[in-house]
Amino acid sequence: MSEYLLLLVSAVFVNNIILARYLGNCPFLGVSNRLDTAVGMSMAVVFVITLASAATWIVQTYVLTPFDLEYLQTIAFILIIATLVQLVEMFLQKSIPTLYRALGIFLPLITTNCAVLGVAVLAIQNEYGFVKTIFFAFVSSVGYGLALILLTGIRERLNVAPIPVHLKGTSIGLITVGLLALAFLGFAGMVH
Amino acid sequence: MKHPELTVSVSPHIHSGYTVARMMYENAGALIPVALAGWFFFGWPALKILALSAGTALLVEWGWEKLFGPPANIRDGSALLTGLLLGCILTTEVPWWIPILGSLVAITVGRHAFGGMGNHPFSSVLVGWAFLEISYKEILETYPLAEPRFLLEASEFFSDPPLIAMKDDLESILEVPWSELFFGNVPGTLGTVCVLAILLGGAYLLYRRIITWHIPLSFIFSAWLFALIMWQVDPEVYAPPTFHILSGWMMFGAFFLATEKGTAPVTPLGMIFYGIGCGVLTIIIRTWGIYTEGVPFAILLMNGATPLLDRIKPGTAGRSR
Repeated sequence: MSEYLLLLVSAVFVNNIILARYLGNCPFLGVSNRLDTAVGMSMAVVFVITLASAATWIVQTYVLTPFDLEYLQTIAFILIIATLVQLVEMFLQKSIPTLYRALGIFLPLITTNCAVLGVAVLAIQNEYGFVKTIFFAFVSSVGYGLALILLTGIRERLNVAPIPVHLKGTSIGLITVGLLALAFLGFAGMVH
Repeated sequence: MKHPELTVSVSPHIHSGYTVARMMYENAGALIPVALAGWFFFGWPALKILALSAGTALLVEWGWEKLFGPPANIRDGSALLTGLLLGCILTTEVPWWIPILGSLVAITVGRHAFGGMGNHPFSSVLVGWAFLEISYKEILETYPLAEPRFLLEASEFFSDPPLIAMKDDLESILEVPWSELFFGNVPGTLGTVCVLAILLGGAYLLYRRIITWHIPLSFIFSAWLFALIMWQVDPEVYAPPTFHILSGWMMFGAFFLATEKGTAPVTPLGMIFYGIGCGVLTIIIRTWGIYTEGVPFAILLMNGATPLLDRIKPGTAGRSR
């Protein structure tokens, strides 16, 4: 139990996937302009990362490792994630249109998110079991969502601030992410 | 026609004379007891550090105003306040370029990159400090011994700041009388050791209604309560709650840093949640983090949550839920 609690603190705060590992920056800056899109994106990220990590773990354990194909990990994972997300999208569109509409454009968008691949690879590198992999993926993506929602709150305000013209838009967004990461450094060293 | 001869503004036409600049100067004035306490315990270097940081802040603000024009404004006092606050959270041992570098980062990256006073999401003072802390941890965490000018004897209880002593050896802080911490006769940063002086300055801020009670009270009380719970769980491992609120930056952070205008929520309920978040995070970082002081990181983190806390708005009057 305490092992899982530590993993939660570690993945959400200490080793936050975006603010400490710098994975998945492009959608992070891309969708952090309005709060409702940010919330939609967070939900889609949680959904996809959890699902993809579970699938990649199965493939790694039952296909790649037994046949000594670990060197194909990256390309195999990319292929799995892309097809899986596409499959899920078609499935959702057909059977749960409400959820499909709620996730909207973000579902195909995060297929190419490096955070998805990052979490899948990290789970393998840390040699987690199946349940732990799923939990790790879930809390990591929750950490991603938390950072995304915090940043969106700030950027919504910055939209109306008299920012120097050279810094408008993405530049000030990057500075803000940097300062947010600076604040998250306070959690450093809590979990090893 | 940029400046019309006749300016017609909407009512009310009578002005109280209470401007943003005046508020900033009064806020800086509330730091007088703090600065005096710094001088009392650490001698003339304290005033040197304050002068360097405030001077650089004013110089950078002036330069920015010359280069980019409004909203930078050296007369509104915000640069002076930022510089003084940054000086207060440094030790007297730091080399001369530390306050200068800190002020430079605080004013440019912390404030004007975001569009000046009131628009910066993170407390500019703490942005400058965090930059220094991450880059020059060793320099910032060399603490001078407190040597009171008169009345008090130099303390024999502490050779390290209380929070470091707490991490090294919990037993050593238990026999220290609280008065040592209250008067600030301990090693530490120059403006934050003397709780008495900070309370005087804070009382002035409250009296002039520059700040309201919500943030300081909820900050300190939630930290006390959280530390009390932990202390009840295991007094062998965790420090007593009174020690936590009297040591380190707790008081200074609650009255001067967490209340920085524009970076804290504006609604009463939002301010209370903000204070609770600061207090709890402070104790968490102090207890389990690698940094000695949890207050600045807790405040920076809650600064990040401020726009969300500001979404807690009072309902429209006269309308049922």
